Amino acid sequence: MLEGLAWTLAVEVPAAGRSGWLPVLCVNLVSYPLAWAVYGLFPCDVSGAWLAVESGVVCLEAGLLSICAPWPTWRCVLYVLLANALSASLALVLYADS
Amino acid sequence: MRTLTHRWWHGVTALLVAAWLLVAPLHADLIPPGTRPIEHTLVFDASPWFQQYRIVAAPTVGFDGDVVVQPDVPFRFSSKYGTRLYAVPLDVTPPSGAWRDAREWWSMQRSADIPVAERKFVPLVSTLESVETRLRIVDISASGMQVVVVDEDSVHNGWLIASLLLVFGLGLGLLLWLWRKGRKQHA
Repeated sequence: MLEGLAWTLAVEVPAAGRSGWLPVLCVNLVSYPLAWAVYGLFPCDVSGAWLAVESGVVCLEAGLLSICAPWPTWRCVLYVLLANALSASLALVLYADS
Repeated sequence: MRTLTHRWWHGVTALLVAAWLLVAPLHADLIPPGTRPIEHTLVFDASPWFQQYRIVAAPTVGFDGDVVVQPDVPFRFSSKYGTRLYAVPLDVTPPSGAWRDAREWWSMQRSADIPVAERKFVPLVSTLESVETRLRIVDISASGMQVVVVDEDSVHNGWLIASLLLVFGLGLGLLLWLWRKGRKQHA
């Protein structure tokens, strides 16, 4: 969890800028424990299920941002979506090889 | 000036993203799958059988790992190495020396399988830290030994659960505050 939050603080929060850093931080605070609970209940390896959960979390983050973030919401959402898509793709390749 | 500041900000952001992805791609914004080991031990209830028999837990494959079982004292076992329980009357002296050299002698003693599978790995995100399974000897006869599971105690990482709940509550509270603030500004 700390590694994920480190990523959030180092990449997503600065990327969201002055108008979006707090909403981005908040959605991550909500989504991490949720994802943790989902994996605890339904453990899975690198697979379609894992990717589905990760995608679901990103969609949840984007949805929450669109409700709570001030203007320009689209930029925050876009950053979060892109950062997550990039990191998920990389991790998928790396984990699948291991 | 404002545009310049924005460009500078985006440049710094791009550098941060690139650096982070290069240095620690596995620590990205996701919860990686995987497992971690936990300790699963067995413990026997005290029973009169211990006054008549020496109970030994020993692997059926591998070389070492035999242990004389005492009531109420936890001991490790292995499903991988096929740990089996043996009962030897107290007036019978087992062969001296290494366990592996006397395997044939032990195979002729009264014995039983461990009635529970070892839980060696749990998902990375599991709060489970350790498991202790309590066993009881029901019977020891010429045909073998009968052992049943009485209870199972699991130890969970309470700090992790508390931290997750705290982080979730904090995030949800702040999001609600932001949402209400946004509505007030629009009104």
